[in-house]
Amino acid sequence: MVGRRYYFYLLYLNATVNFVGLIPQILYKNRLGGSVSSLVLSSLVSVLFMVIFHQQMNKFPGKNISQIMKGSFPDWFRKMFLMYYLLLWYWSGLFFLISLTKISRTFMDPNMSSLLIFILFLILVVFSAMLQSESILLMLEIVVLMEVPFHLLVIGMFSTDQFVNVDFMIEAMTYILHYPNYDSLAAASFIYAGYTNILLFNEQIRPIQKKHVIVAGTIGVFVLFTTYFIPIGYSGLQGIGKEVYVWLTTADSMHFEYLFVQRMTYILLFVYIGISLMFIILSWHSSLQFLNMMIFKNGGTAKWVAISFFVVVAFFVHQSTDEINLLRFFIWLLNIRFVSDILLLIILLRSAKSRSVA
Amino acid sequence: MIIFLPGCTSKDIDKRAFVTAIGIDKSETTGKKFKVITKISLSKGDPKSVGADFTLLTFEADSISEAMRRMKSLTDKELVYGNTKAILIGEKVAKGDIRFLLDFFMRREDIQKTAYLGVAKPSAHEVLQYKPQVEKVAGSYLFSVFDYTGSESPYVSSLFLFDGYRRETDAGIDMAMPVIEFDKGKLKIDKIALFNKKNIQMVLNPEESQIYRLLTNGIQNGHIHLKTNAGTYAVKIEKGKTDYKLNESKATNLIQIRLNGSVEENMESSGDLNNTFIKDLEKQTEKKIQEEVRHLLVSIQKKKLDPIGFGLRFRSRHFNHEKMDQQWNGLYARLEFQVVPECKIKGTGLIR
Repeated sequence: MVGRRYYFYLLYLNATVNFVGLIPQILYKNRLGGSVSSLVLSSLVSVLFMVIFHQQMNKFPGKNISQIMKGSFPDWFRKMFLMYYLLLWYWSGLFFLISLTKISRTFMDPNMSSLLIFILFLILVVFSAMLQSESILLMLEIVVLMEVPFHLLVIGMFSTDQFVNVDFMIEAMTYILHYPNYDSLAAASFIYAGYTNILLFNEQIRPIQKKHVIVAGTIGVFVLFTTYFIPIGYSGLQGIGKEVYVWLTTADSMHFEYLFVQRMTYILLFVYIGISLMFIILSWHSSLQFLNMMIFKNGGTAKWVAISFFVVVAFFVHQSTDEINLLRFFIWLLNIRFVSDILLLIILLRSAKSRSVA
Repeated sequence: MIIFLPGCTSKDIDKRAFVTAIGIDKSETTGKKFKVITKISLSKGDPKSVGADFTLLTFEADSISEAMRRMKSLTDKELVYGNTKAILIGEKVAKGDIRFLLDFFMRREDIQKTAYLGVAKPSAHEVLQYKPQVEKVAGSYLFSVFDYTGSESPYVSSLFLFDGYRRETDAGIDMAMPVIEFDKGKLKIDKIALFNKKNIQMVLNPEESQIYRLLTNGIQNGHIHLKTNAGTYAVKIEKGKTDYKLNESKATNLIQIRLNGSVEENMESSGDLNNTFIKDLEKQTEKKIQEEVRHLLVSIQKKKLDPIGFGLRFRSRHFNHEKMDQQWNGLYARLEFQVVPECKIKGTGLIR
């Protein structure tokens, strides 16, 4: 058992990795439509989900999802569900990895081969994902603690910057009267989705109470709304729609006059690379954990088969995606993920009910 | 990770040439569209012997990217644009269309989005060619003028690249750039050029530029020349700030200006500056500011420009987005400016 602070690290990681996940770009697609109301709705829905999720999970202290489902559901359904989650986590890790590769290449050296960067990241991710769950959590702590000061620096810079045009941000808020739309809702709720990691780490992390959910929700709201509104203050409501890597341009628009480096983009880029690699490691580690639950074994041939499958598919997908269809893949992935979260809640509720009956 | 950390991935630093400023002019030879000029610093990397030596590369081409690519053939080094801090647009280009320029520089990931934009007169080439005596690093003259830490000249209103781009893409706010003039062997930066979304529309003279600066960023160490019945005085503005409030139903724009100043020059040696006289001087200053501000705002309004962002303020306070442009254009055309300056003269220097 480790402290509850790891729960917050998981949430924070999930919330801040969105810069690489093209989530701002998805949100800004509907900035003149229902994005702002989607932000509000997704915050309400996600916090509700979190409350229900932890209420149910606390009925099964120290048990993982496979043990929870056992007895309430037929074996084939349990296996299918685990397989589905395995693939879901694998694909989200993979898309983030491809996106990260593209960003690193664009900003570090456009002449470098994208495949070379991809292979370097892949080697790191594959071998780290096979570590023990406790080691992964310890790694997570270091990465998150390294990120927080830079995050605060950017927020501090923003709040003192005279070049931020507040009128742009207010103009963006006036679009709140439009109806929410599903793409934005799903993308925004990804920011809160870190709580689902408890499915795997329930054995390691102490039970989460309601007061922790309140803190977690506050962090989520803060990250979500700053993610959405800060870039608009710098790029304008129309201009923001043209940006591809919204947050890197925003960081580049900040003029750090008294810092030892004037251009913060590159430092932030390294921080982003750190957190997104951590996220990818966590996703693939989760995939492997789902596999272990499915076959009731740790390691062995199945693990290596899965790993080779991961790597081979990763190569194919990397070679065949470009920037335009990557965004489409992300929208699909996030849309599916939102539905899966609802499915997960239903399964948890039913398991808890059948357990209390029995 | 360590492989990426050196930053100069595939080339050593001595094989790179650092571009500190880029200029774009209209080409003089027929057939080509632009002349692109890059100012390259020749410093050796040793902080003690950083010199202001530079070299200019020019290339004429139909597109900027073509010129930048072909420029590689003019040097043995790799051109690095990561340290470019000033982008100068030749006056003739600014009279044409500058939208594609902003688009191009925003699109390139290696150009800093906090590079300064400016209009070069008579041409970017002449401005870049000039080597100021006081310069420490090639091109640093330009950026220390634009930086708020370097000089606090009330006549300069600097514009970052990202700021220019958002003013181009978004409705309700227009661009305003400083004009860098090369005249009689000196660089002079005391005028501001106002743009619509596309090209240059009017150029403010130094006095108007100061008023413009007062209306936007506020000024420090400004200057007002006063002619009263009792004589001529110079008032120094130590601090000036502006707020504005749009009133739709009355079609007015209430502009509140707060000034702190002191008497700097008394050209009437006989007059003694007592309290009642200073009160009078404050009134005079207010009146003068009021006239000048209203004059400037009306002349901007007549050209249908909006560099201060009144339109944006209007847009940000309305929830109905249909027909908003029409509504605003109608309102702006008949908008009246009520200027309410409030001046406090806090001192008279060391003597009364």
